[in-house]
Amino acid sequence: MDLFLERLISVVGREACLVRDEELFVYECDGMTVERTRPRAVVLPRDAEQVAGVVRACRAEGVPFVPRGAGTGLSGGAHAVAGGVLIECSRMKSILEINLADRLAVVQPGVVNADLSHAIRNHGLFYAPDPSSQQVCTIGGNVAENSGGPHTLKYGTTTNHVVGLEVVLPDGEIVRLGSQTGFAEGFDLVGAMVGSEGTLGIVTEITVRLTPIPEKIETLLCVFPDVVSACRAVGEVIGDGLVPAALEIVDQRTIRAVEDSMYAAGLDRDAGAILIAELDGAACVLPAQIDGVRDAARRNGATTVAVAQNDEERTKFWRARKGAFGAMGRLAPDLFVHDAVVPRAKLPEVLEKVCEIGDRYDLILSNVFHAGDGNLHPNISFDRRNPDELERVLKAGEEILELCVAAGGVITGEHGVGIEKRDFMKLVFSEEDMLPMHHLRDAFDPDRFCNPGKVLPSTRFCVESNPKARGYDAVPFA
Amino acid sequence: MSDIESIVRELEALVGSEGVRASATSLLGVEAPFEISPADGKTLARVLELLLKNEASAVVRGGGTHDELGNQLGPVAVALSTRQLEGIEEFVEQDGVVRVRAGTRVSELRSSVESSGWDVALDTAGLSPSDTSTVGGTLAAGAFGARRLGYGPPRDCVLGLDVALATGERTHCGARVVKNVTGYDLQKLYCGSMGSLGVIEAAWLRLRPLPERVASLVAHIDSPGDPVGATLGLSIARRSTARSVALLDSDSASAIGLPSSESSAGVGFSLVVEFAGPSVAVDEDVSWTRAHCEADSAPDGVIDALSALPTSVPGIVARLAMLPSAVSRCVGELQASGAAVVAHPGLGLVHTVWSSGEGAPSDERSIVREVGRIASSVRATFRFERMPVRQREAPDIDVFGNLERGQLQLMRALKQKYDPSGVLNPGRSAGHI
Repeated sequence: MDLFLERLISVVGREACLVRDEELFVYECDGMTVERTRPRAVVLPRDAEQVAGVVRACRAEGVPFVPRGAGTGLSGGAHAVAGGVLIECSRMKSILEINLADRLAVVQPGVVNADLSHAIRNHGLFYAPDPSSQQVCTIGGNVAENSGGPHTLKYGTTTNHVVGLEVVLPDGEIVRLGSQTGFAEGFDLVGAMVGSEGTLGIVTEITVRLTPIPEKIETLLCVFPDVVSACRAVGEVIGDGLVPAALEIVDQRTIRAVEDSMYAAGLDRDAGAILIAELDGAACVLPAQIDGVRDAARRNGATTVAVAQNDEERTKFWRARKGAFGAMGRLAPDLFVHDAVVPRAKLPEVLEKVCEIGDRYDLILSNVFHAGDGNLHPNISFDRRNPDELERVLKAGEEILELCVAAGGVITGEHGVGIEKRDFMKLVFSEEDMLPMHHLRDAFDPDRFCNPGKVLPSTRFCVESNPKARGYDAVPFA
Repeated sequence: MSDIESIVRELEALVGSEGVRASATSLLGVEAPFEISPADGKTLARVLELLLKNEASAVVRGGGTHDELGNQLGPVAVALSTRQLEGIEEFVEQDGVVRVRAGTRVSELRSSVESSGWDVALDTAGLSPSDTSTVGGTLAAGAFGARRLGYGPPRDCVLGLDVALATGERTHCGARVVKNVTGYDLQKLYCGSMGSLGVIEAAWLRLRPLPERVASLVAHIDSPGDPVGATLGLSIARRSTARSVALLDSDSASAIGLPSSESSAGVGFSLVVEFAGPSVAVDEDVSWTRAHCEADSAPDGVIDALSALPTSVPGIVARLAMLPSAVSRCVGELQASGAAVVAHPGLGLVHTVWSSGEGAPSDERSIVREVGRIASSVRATFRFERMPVRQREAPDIDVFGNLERGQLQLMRALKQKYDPSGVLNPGRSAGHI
């Protein structure tokens, strides 16, 4: 074994340093599975000191490193770098402190998102950011991606709930950023760190705010003749001054896929689209909010508006949304899940054009999306063993991104840039726009050891990737 | 550095005569005899390029409401004003988003969107139409007022920013959409950076629905077990429509026109509360509050007066931020030191004022040390929002408190990248950066 690997072992211990091919194989990719790179080693540190030791060892050897949580990311942000080390944080999984009086928790990065909410539920609190992968994904990964979820509309994303971080910088120094008080002085380095996709350092401790569980939750299921009508209803709900906890739309193709699967929820297969609206808060305000959503839905052609009468019915309403991606596995072997955002007011026209793109390229395209945020997930079911179909999928994907940006939107609302969309950053930002992003990265990691090749397009990194060679078979957890 | 007047002549060629004003501005201990006001972003960038070329610096000003916030400035050639960068560029009513130029007054923006049922979650010095704070200045300072509890931090309403760098590039970050993880979140970095990393030209902001009802209450705290009212205040702050919850001692209450509070506990704290939201929920929260203390309707304008208080009272003004559970103890220690106090228990914030008048420098230094000591004892961060110039000049004083070495190193590295020649607000930020 070479001296570098021995040095890693001296930091984390033999059992926490994976070097054999059969051990490294499962770390060749994250949720973006087509592009794969085998790391030189995978280490599983237990604390910040071990992370720092690994980083210093890598620096001394000139080896790049990549932090990784649960590996559920869909943009390749946790893909290893050729010849590099993967620093896997799953052993750092302790909830270090729960402060009920001040509604704060301190956690290690490997704590599973849903586990934190579970730990505090009996105290009437929860951790608000709820990505669809929350049963698996980690808080550290959430910090890297600034994760949101269906309830982002009301509760915001991870950046709105993190007040402090402990970080191992790319030079191996350990620093504390932010403050438990939420009023740290100086530059907002926590804000800059959240969503930086593991390129500015490795988070080893996170202080988060906890949110009171709402007094009451009401869930509505509205059935529409088509997706555009549902989008217009969403626009009116927001325009009327309501802030629901969630507004999710599922189109007909997805409904039928769900009803043909084990996730069947008894939905009308001929429904053009369904809108799931969740309202929460003080019980006294919800009746008026229900009326507001119902009225907006009816004005826009909803044929049915149902209010869940109990938890069982609420679960049934959500099944079409939460089972959507699993159900699509029956349509074709592979699934290309897009993630883009457009201004809400542009949703109807953009959706029409997205469907037109799918038809023009003769693809099975379905739509499931966070309509309240304007966050689209056009999903293309295909077989990547068919090179012609793969080519059409990629071209359609590029057109969809260009369409969304032209409508005033952006190329990713929650999956991140990673590798997948690095080369599409130029659709949104000019070279001048990216200059301060390079400044930020250079201030933290001038030598680009930490997760190089992600987020910012450049020719000076180790990783090169041709997006046209990619197909996508990720079954997303978004 | 070239002669200031020759620099100003070059600047006048860029901004025109209407963009140059002789100014008696004295900011943070330095004189800025001229104020330069570019009328658009392109001119702003050229002004910055010219300053860079001449190795000159500028202090950046919005509405001037936080002119006294910051460390001692280094030498500057001019004040760079966003006065002419004003106007609402786009208002998307249906989406509740607006694009506004940095020099636009927050009060003007608010009045423009209110008629459509929207509100701006920025409250620097109250919601009064006479408030002069600008959108850009508010964001750059990360400033907020008494409604911070309900509005959240200013950075949370920012969707995107147009920023001119000290090196002359015009850049944008973020976008007009409410959910976005495309690239780095530079908006967060710029907000609260005291204009040290770039000059905000314009912003995309997310609006929030105007509340259906607003109700304000005032009560006198009279509970031996909770003499400051921090426990009650925290409970009220956690009601769903609470937008502002403040505890004021007698001096602070007098400063905003409230009668002094007398109580059996002899401490004399007043509780001021504002609820905002759906009528039925506001009514519920008002009823709950009245069930727990004897509260009356508050006089009009009292919350606005609270917002303006830190920047309107003379003396040394400090803001301490701690966990809510530490507020009561902090207030007790500050009162014992002779300071006036306003506490926001829901936020864990305490504003404190020592009236200085004819105070000796040694007295001022004692106050500075005492704030640091109390902050340390309750594990608070702190800043001085107002401090005599002669104290600012002391090299061992940082008005933003004592930041960790690692954090300061990162800040210096960022400043070196974004503004290598120190064109913008030299020395003003934490760490004298």
